Amino acid sequence: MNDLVIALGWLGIFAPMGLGALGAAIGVSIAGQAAIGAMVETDSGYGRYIGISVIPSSNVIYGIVVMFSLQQPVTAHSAGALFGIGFIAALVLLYTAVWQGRACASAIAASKTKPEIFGLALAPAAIVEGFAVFAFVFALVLARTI
Amino acid sequence: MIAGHDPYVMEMASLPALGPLLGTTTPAISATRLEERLRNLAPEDRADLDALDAALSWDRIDLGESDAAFVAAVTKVVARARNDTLRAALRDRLEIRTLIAALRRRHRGGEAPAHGEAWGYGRFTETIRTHWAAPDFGVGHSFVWVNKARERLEAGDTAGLERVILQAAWDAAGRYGDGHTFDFEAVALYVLRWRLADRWARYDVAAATTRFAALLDAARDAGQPSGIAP
Repeated sequence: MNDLVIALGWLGIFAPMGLGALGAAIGVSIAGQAAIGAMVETDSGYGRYIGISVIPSSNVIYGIVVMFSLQQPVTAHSAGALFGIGFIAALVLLYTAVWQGRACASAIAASKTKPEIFGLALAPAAIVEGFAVFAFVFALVLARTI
Repeated sequence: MIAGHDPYVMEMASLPALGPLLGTTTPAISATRLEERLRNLAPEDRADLDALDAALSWDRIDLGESDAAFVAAVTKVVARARNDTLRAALRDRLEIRTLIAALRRRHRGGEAPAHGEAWGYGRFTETIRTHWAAPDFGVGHSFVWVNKARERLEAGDTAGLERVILQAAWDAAGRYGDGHTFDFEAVALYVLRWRLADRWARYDVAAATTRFAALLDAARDAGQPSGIAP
């Protein structure tokens, strides 16, 4: 039982980075495909499309920072907290990266036809980023209390 | 699933917006380029799209075929469709055609189809048959455009009727777009709408050509200069 608790503690430490990277990879790939599609159709704005498509990669950075903030000797006393904070933060980073990728893909698809809505089309992706930042910041705050 | 199912992100992002149907003078993308963009469809999706096309495209429908044979064929196509959205979109389109067929039949003085006759497709064939004398066949609540179509038909306004029909088909295809942005359904609904826009654009060219020829004839008959250098 003690070994399981310790393993969960380690899972909590690495999950934000691991699942954050997984979500970022999926999100960037979705938005990247949309960027490639848009570049086929348009004659300009290529850099802008590629720029939008990498937005979900910020989640892996948040994951790395959370991982370092949780990094400490894993004991039966601290493992539960490490798992709870780390794993929930990881889930948020995973999902927000994927769905941010979809939001970015939609923004790319819409703004290629109507470039004037480029800024507004990015609003959903920015709001999703805000939720990831909430999880990131409060994971850091709680990590200090362990 | 974490990521949902978005197999055609690149394809959909590479297709231009179609815009409103009735404002279309040329399709947003040519048939050749559309075909190029759809080259990467999975074979089973390609087959579904072709089946959909075969059931709806007038070019691929055997007009010598009996109504019963056509109804049997499209019933098979609808049953074989692998997802609910396409099945519903195809059904709606065929129901629109059924209703238009009923309007035309009645306008020609035709009697109501006999009980059990395979004359149309969909959920409303029996309602239409039993309400043959009603102006909207008793389906006006489901097809709000039917009275407008009847008025155009009775007035002999064929262009106006075509506009009503295409707009109804366009709206029906758009009804299922919610939640489908980058999947096969999105591709299929885009193609359905593109075919309508293409058809509308062709009508427009044909109408303009006819009008131009008529104006030339009128000018020649009146012995006035046409304004065009010989």
